[in-house]
Amino acid sequence: MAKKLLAQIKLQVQAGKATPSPPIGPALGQHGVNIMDFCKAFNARTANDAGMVIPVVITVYQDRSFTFITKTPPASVLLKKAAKIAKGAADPKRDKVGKVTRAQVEEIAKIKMPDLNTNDLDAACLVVSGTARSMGIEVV
Amino acid sequence: MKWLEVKITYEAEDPALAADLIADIFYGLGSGGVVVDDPDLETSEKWDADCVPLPKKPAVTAYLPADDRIGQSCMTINNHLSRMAVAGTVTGSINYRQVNEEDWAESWKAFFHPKKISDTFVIKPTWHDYTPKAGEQIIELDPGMAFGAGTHQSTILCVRMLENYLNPGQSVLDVGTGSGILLVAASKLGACQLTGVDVDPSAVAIARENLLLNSVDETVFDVKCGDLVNDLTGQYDLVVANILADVICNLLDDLDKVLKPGGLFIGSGIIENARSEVLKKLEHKGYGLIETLTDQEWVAIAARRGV
Repeated sequence: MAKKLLAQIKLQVQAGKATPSPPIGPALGQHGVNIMDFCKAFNARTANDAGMVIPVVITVYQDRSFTFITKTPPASVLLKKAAKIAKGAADPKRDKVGKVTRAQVEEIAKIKMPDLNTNDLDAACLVVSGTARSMGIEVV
Repeated sequence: MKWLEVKITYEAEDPALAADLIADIFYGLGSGGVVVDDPDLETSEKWDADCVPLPKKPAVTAYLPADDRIGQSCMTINNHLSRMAVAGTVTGSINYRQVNEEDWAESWKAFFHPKKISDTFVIKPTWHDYTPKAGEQIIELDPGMAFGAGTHQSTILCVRMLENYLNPGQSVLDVGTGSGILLVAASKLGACQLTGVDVDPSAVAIARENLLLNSVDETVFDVKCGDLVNDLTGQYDLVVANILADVICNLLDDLDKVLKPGGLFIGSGIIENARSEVLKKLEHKGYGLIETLTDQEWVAIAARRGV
């Protein structure tokens, strides 16, 4: 018999650094999820992505057991890393805070492909370029 | 400590992009993560009427320490959001709510009950009554803010390994002791000298509490704060490490320093796809494989140091 679903929770958490502190504690605790178990499993699975923020979707079942899937890091995080900037522009139309090359956009697009519902690299590059523009990062 | 929950509910042409941009504001303020309310979240399983419903509107929620910088942080969030609204990327509204640290630290415990984890051991939170059956031993453990609530597969595999291989009178070192559960189990199995080490000072305090809670004599155990075995001296009959595969591989470089020749090493917290990496390292270091146990995606390995 399939396990019965209780809730799904989406978080973004730093790879390898999950702790019972917020946001994990409040988000999972209210559903009776063993917070330490989640942290341990998440940290194990993301150990190789240090320094990245990883989106994670946690499925909680009625018996309080859970599973989770991790996604690729947000394009904004990858872009900031590529452009070597701490944060994006609040007003991207006026402020240009950094630059990335087309090759870097393509590299990020390749990383993001599994979560973008496309097998077309050009389409993925367009999405990533759009994100870059929205953050005040120029594609050169 | 109190926290301020800051929830930004928003409308945007591209909700996923907007979520990233809003999350970015929180990361700029030092937040280590966010909760994303995604009404379009795909569900892999059947979504019944008694499930917690998916959120109706997209939102991003972060938790900031309610300290003396919180006013400044709220202003920063406001400014960013107004500028995003002007730029036309995101229109959002902010909701604040104060949250006590205790709220979530306690709430999930309501779902926690005594659990038999091996042939011998039953893990029991102190707030539960349980009468042990013949041959059962109880480990009293209140799941708290340290790793090792006792119900994780990697911990259970370690306890089973200890049951199989620990002889009464032996000395035991637990690297990455967390809640100290493995030292408690080792003590109940007859280990006479127990040392735990953890990089997290709060784990050191909690492990001590748990050992005392389980009537382990203070003269036979020591829990220290330290990075793996760097600050340790002396050699043990048995070393157990329930951490992660890559940390265990690092530990293996220095393991001979703390494990007697012919002594036993138990490594756990190894995810299935890292198993071969750890086995290779053990072989390279001259350790003889004795047994591997698996439970779902987790693997525990027992190996003996050459004499």
